[in-house]
Amino acid sequence: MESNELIRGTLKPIILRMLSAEGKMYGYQITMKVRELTEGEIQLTEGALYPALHQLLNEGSLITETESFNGRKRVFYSLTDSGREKAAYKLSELRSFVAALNRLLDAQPGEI
Amino acid sequence: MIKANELEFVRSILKSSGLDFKPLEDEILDHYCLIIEERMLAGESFEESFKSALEIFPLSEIQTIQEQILELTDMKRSYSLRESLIYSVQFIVIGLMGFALSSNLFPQFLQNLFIWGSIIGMFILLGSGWVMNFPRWSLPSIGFCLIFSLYMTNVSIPLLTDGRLLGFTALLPLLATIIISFTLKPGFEPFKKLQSKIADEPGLILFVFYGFMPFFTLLIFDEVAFPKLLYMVFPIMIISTGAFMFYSSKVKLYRLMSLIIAIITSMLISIDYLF
Repeated sequence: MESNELIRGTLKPIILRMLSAEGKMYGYQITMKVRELTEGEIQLTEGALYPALHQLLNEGSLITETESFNGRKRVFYSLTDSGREKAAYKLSELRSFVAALNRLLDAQPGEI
Repeated sequence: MIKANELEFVRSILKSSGLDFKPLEDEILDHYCLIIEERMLAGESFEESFKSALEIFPLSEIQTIQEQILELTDMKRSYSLRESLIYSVQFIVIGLMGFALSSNLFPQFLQNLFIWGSIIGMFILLGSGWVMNFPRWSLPSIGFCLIFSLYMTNVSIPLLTDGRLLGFTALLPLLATIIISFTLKPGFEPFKKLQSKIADEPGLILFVFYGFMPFFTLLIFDEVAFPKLLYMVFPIMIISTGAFMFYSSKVKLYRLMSLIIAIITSMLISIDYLF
């Protein structure tokens, strides 16, 4: 399982990626989907997920809609237009970073 | 599926853990219920599932999540003692204005400088607060600037207005502040934020108007000569302490009580002095 320190910097792109792929999701669903896709390697904690979701909401990248379910309310998040642009930018930035990191980690002794 | 009484049980436990931020309440309750339902589907009882949910998502994390969200979304409810002390200074400054108005301890130009500086300072606080989406420290300046401007429309300044009331002229500083603030921060985001803050804590409306309390005390002590004027220190200190408690307290009820107690006590002291 990846450490929280590694996940912290990539949390927002992860959320944006999930929402751009799925359309609308609720908090618990995001944690489960990430766990499933990464085969348990990345486990989002509630303490990291909800502040990030509310920050994205406050920035105008996400909107919410609430549905009643079994006597309680479920809050679904989805991307706004600016959120979609942000998702594209953040994902391309993250991919470039991961590619650069791979080059760095794969460098041979003589190259360092 | 969780039954209605079990749902209420979870809801009451979450409430007792300090969860009271409305936009977060529903999703945290749903999150716990989903963990519990998943466990119940695997064959556990409600009690066992609830215990498992608390191990996965400890109640102690809720308060931290809530405070983090409040801070990240400009909804911070309380400040540190140091910050609270700094933000309470505005109440002392307006109170001190009473001494500058009614005493001759310092040269006239210094007294005028202090009076105008204090009033302009409150309008600057209002403008800064507007630009920064009305954080709590700026809320008393809304009440002060609004009521002060309205009050001044009914006032005449002998040297300036030749016996006539200031009227509409008294509203010009407020209008100028609104125009400058709107130019610096176009749109209605600050008011949407203010609305969310008031929805989260209606007691903030009282705090907005609490901003006028030091000036109100000053009006009560108008025309009172020095050294009797020193008595005004007590209500001003009580009002400033009330504001300090409001800024620093983490509990909504305590915040509201600190304002109500300060208003009642300071008024009783002022009235007791006058009659």
